[in-house]
Amino acid sequence: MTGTALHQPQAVEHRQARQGVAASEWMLERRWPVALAGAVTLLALWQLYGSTVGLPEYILTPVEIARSAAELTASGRLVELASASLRRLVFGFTIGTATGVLLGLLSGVSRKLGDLLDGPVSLTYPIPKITFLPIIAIWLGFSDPARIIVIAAACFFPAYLNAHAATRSVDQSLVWVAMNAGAGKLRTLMQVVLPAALPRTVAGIRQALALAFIFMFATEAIGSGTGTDAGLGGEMFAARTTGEYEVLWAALATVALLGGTVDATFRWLVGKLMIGQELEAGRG
Amino acid sequence: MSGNIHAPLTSGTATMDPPADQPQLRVASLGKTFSRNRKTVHALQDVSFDVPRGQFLSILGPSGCGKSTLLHIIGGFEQASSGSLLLDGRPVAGPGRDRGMMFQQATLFPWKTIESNVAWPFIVDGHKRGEARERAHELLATVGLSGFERSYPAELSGGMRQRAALARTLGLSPDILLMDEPFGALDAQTRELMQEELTRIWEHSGLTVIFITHDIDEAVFLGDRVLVMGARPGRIIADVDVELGRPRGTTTKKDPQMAEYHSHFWELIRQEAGPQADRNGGSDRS
Repeated sequence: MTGTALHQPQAVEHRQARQGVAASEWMLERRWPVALAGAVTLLALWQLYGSTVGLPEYILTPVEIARSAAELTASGRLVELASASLRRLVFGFTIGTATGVLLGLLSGVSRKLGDLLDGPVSLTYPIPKITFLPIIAIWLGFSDPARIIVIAAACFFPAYLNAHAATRSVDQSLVWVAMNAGAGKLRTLMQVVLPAALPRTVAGIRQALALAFIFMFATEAIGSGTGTDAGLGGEMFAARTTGEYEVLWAALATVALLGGTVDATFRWLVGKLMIGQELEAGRG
Repeated sequence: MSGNIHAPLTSGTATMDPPADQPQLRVASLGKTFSRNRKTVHALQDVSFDVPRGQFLSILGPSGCGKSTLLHIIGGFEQASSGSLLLDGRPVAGPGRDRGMMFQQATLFPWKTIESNVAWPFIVDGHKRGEARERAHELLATVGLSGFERSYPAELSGGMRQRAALARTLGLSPDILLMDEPFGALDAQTRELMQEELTRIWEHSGLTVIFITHDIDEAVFLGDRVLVMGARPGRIIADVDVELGRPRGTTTKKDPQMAEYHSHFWELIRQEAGPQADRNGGSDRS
């Protein structure tokens, strides 16, 4: 070991490091306003076209949609519809994703479990998960549990496959670094393998989240009642038949808003939790 | 032994040591075979050499000659197929903190700050968090990274990351430093600076170093002794003492002896490489 202080790293290295930080600041400051400007421009063009040229009666302008959504929110109907939908989404997503991530990580670490699960997963993965709904409905009817099971099944696969691949592809030399330091198996797993597998696992969770919204809508479209328990998806299909286009569009806007908000929150959280790896991927 | 004697260079001292003076590391008839596509690849064949305590040993060889595999076996990360490996007279069984490994890539944990990366081995060793952080700060000062404790690896340049990796490895308090082309991915200027700093650290440390490289000048500049390896099968084709004075620095690189060593080693490698220089023996990893 040595006690001598060495020369400071060269100016070049400092500059490179500072550029990295500056780039991430730039993105933080400028990126989301640009994204917002894109969305606002699109809405403005839509509005402009609607109020000058005119649109068919079944396509509403953004202002009309906002008015309808405000009315439906005030009456409480939209809130009830959204909460019925979100309840299914949250349960389905949580059950499917948690199972997928857990089994994926375990099967990535244990070759035996990986081989064991490989068969069933390969067989069921290509099946469109929505086809489970009529089968499950034989037992459970077109009920919340039936819908939740289908949403969970849809969420399971991206969560499982990504978590599995993430643990399998952890850099061997990171594990060697841990072994070199004398870390035991459990510590290496918890403090090296899992954090290293996190970015790809999280990417899988994000895919599952998007699927949860799609399947929330799809499961509600089939066999829903007419009350607020129909959820946003059921209500949209009902509104189509009755010609209540303002309800249809308000429900659609709510799904878009909810989905966008959840995804943005998720990404923000990921950026906070995995700052080192986000920087590495150039997304800091 | 496989040492060739070439005037004005002399063969390695290690094998001539009297038996009473036990070498720190003894590699005897080491062999490593992989089977790939039903074919057996001899990554290493009959590799033997001794390393006395405190020596800076460079291992020079083309890619695919098995030099990384050799280092991984010494580190305890891979197992030899045949032969023996004695560390202070005891056979090596698995990795240990007595042999600190540095890779071509810095292999820092990207989710930890530089400080936490360097502190981690201390925490594994049972030190308190504050104490580990203090030790990390000292080590980072040693490698010239003070002020970057809170940075993440991704925020640092390649050279700075290798400095941090060196600090982390030194924190293991190893007897032997195993370095697998640690400067191979750096640009030419940074690489030269890192070589000079490594020399300076090593000259104050009393550490034994085994340094893998495919860069002739790097091997000569750093090493007390250079082992040259040939590929297919990976084996030692020359064992040469480097008789350049210490301490070494910028002036060493202008020493006419450097050029002599360079052409000598280049000739050896050229003869060895032959016409099919680029077919991989299948063991070098980056």
